[in-house]
Amino acid sequence: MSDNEAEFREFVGAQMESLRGLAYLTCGDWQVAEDAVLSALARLYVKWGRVENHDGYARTAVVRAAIDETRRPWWRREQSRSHAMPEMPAPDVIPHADDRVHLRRALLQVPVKHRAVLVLRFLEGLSVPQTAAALRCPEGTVKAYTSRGLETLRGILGVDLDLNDRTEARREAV
Amino acid sequence: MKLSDLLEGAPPARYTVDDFVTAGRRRKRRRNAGWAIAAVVAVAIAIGVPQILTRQQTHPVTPEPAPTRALDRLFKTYKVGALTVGDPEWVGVNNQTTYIGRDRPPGRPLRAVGTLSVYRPGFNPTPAWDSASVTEPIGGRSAYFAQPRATGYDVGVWTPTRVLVWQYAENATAVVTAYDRHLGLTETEMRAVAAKFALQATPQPIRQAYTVGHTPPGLKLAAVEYSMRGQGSVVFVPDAASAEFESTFRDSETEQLLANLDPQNRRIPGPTPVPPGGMVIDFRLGGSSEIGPEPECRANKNPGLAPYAGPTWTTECRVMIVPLPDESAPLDQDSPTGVQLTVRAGDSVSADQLRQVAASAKSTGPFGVASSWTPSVEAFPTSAQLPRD
Repeated sequence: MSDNEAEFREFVGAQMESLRGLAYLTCGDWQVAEDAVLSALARLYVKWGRVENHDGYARTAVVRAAIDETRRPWWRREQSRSHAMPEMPAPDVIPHADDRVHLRRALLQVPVKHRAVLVLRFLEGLSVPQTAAALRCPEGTVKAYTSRGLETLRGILGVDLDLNDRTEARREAV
Repeated sequence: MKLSDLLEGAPPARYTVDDFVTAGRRRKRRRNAGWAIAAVVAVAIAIGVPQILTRQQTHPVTPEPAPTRALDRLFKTYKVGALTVGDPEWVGVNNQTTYIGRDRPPGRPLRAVGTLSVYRPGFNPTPAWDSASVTEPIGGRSAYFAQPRATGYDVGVWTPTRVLVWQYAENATAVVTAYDRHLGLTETEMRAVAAKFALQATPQPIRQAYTVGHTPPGLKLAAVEYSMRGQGSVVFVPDAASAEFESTFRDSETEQLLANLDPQNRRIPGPTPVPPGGMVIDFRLGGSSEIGPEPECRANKNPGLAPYAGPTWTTECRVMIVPLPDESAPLDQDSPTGVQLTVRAGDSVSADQLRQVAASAKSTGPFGVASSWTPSVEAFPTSAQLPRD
């Protein structure tokens, strides 16, 4: 096994769950999300020796792959039967489970590019410039998408969101 | 509530680290294969595209000319607007000639308005014209118009009025000749005929329905007449004359047609003229009660009727040969009872030699099955063949 492959294995082992979650929140389906991650990391494998920021490359590739999955024409989409959102909200004995279902549904109603910005900023904790770099778009676009995405979520959920804690925590860590 | 809360209760991952590595390896293999294919395509494009782009779009592709001494047809009939250029009617060791005809109302035959002569590479035709004026290149090669010289004798509608000379390939000349002004062939049309000319990729041999086992010493096969109708002549010239020999013959049936079309053309086409010191064999369908399987020789009864250059032969021998039966033909189909062969020559060839030529003639295949005939270069003795290019 080459050094590159050993490093790649270590990276995948460490980042797989995080990237899977990123893809899931972007596309809204676990199965599709895993396919997107597989596709993105296969690309990273080929370029491993030439990419300096493996985290950044993987994040960008996964989000883009997840967005692409949502753009597939319906006749090319695999019909996922497992864990697909949305779920019907129902009274739940577990605390906050109902809130999570509502938030998932609301998030899926946000346009996919706005959703990707929200996920990168409030799940991954990226700054505006980092998000702009990840999505290869201007910072102004990131700001606008953030604003519109949050506004859509607020409109659907009817509450003021508190999504910034992780971002703030990262900023403090830096 | 945070976004990360939505990831709680995630299903177990379907893919392991090994799956990611396998997918990466597979992608790498495909990518390398893709580069290899792309490299092959790039090389093909790099070689092919410039050739396509530099190709003269207004001129057909001209393959390397094949040696004419094989007596194969180098080109085939083609249309240029209202004009038709025929298959080569006479194929010589140094050039091939055919007619250029103009369309007439439906159901009526073409009107011959000119000829095309194509010379083998390296052969320079003897200029029979003056006052050359250079014109735009044809197919990227040089071309000029010129004024034909007067021949000194009446050739009726076959009086040339204008010639276009151009290079159809490297060091290979062709000539379009326009005849008699009232029949008309404009310079634009002459250029169009030249521009559309193309060599055949696979030249077709001209076949003969008979073979001859003997020819007079020193005579070489110089030109054969091609006729889809199966009748034709072959011309032999002295070895010394073969290098410079140019076929200027015209197909007898085209000539007959032209004579019928044009009331001004009073000339009745005669037999193919015999070149100085040479010999001609004519092949005609049909039996005759006057001749049989034994050659009959006689002096030319009408030497004054030779059409172009005075008397060209003094003696002729005739023989009848029986064609081989066509097994594939229906029983009720008429087939020729015989084929008449006439061998003609001037005083340089003795009557005894002509008789031997006629006596050595044999049929080679059913008359109706042209594919069974013998290629011209095999139908005559090796001693009569010129070396191939």
